[in-house]
Amino acid sequence: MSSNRAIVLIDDNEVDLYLHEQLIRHTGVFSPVWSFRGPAAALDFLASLPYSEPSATYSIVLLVDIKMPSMDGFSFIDRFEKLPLTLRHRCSIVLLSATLMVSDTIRAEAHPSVAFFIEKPLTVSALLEVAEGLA
Amino acid sequence: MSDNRIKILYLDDEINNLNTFRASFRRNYEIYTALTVTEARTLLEEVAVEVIIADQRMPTTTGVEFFNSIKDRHPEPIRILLTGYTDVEDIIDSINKGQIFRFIRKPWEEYDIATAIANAHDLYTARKQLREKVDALEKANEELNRFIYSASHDMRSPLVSVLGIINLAKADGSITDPNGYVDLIESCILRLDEFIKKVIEYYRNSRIDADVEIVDFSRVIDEAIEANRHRNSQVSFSVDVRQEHVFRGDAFRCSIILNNLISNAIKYQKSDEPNPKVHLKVRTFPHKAVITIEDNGVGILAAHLGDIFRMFFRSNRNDNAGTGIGLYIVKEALNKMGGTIEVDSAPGQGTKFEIILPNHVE
Repeated sequence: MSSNRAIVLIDDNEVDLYLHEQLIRHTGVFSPVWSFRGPAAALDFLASLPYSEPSATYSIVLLVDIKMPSMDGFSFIDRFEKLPLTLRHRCSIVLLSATLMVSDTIRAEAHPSVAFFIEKPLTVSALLEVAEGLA
Repeated sequence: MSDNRIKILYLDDEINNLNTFRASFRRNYEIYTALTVTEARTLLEEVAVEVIIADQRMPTTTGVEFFNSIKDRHPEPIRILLTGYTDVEDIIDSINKGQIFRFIRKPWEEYDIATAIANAHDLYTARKQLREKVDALEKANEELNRFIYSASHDMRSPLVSVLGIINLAKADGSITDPNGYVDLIESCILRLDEFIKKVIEYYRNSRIDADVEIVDFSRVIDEAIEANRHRNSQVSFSVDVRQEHVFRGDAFRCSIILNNLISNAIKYQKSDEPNPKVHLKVRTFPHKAVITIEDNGVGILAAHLGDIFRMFFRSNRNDNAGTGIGLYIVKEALNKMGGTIEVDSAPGQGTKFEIILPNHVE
């Protein structure tokens, strides 16, 4: 099952990005892992995937940091929602943040396109929970 | 000198009145005059006058109507009405509609005008200072909000990365650490993170308005115990809640208070205590709730009891758990709720807190 679920990591923080990559490789629930420091590059990448092809069967989890300088997690979702439906159907969005502001948490949890909200640090158990929840 | 003079606009349809006014006061004030409402409006657009004097009786309009017509666009200047006759309806109308500060009966006396203008100017200055203070406060508040927001994220996010690295190192077993240094690092990081969380909690406590709702103390206590149990799983809890009267109060602050006290009761246990325990008791009454929380922990020196609710006070600087902010938050939350707290403690034997909260009857 691990082979048919990919993950896209979007975080401006290089350390966290590396860390999450390692943690995901360690748990082995998602593969392949694609990492992006900028949301724009991630959107370009997603748009370039050949999703209309019937052979592309795997689903994708987008693990997105909320606070990023160029485009925050919520603006990323707004842009993501302009991508073709065939692509979006395969994607689930998980927002991630180190915030303590309740307003951010509430906003993330109430967002219709957000499947999960995870408080940093990302842990093995949180990853497994996401994998299970989306199964 | 001329810069400091009070700026006055005088509107009157009789040029003689305007001229007399100018002649009498031009040394004292910076005077602008207008024969018509249109002229007056144009002047108001160009000059920030502090006081407006208008004649009530003019051919096409009245002073009150004029004041009423400019009150949205020029709310700041203080208004004085000159009137030759005293119709009660007129006076009521002008106060309600035109927001008039003073009436002056025509023909005016120089002394009356001078007093009225001085008073009007005082009011103008006071209002202006108030507006400036409010603006400054709003700005300071907004900056504080931004600071808190960035503190909560920017200070925390590297800490959280470190915790993540430690998690990963533990998960993949890549670090050989016979002396347990990684655990020490982790505990330091958790302490700092705890401190940041407390500061944010304090900030939220100080700014969020009280929301009165029914409080279920059993649930609040269970949640607080659940949130803190990981600190020391040896501690046994006994909870005795009897809510014979419905308690209405600020549930958010109730949980802040209980959370901090329970966390302390766990943190300040004796390391050699074979049977560490915490006892919580709640009783509700028609006008209050009484909560006691008692532990058999390290206790507090009598000399320190008066200081424990002060910000950043720590009874034992060498302890690894304290931030010096928890009990301060408790006290602040109680201040907001109109509650009280008392403490009784014996070093080496334990501590007992008693809290009284007002019950907001429906």
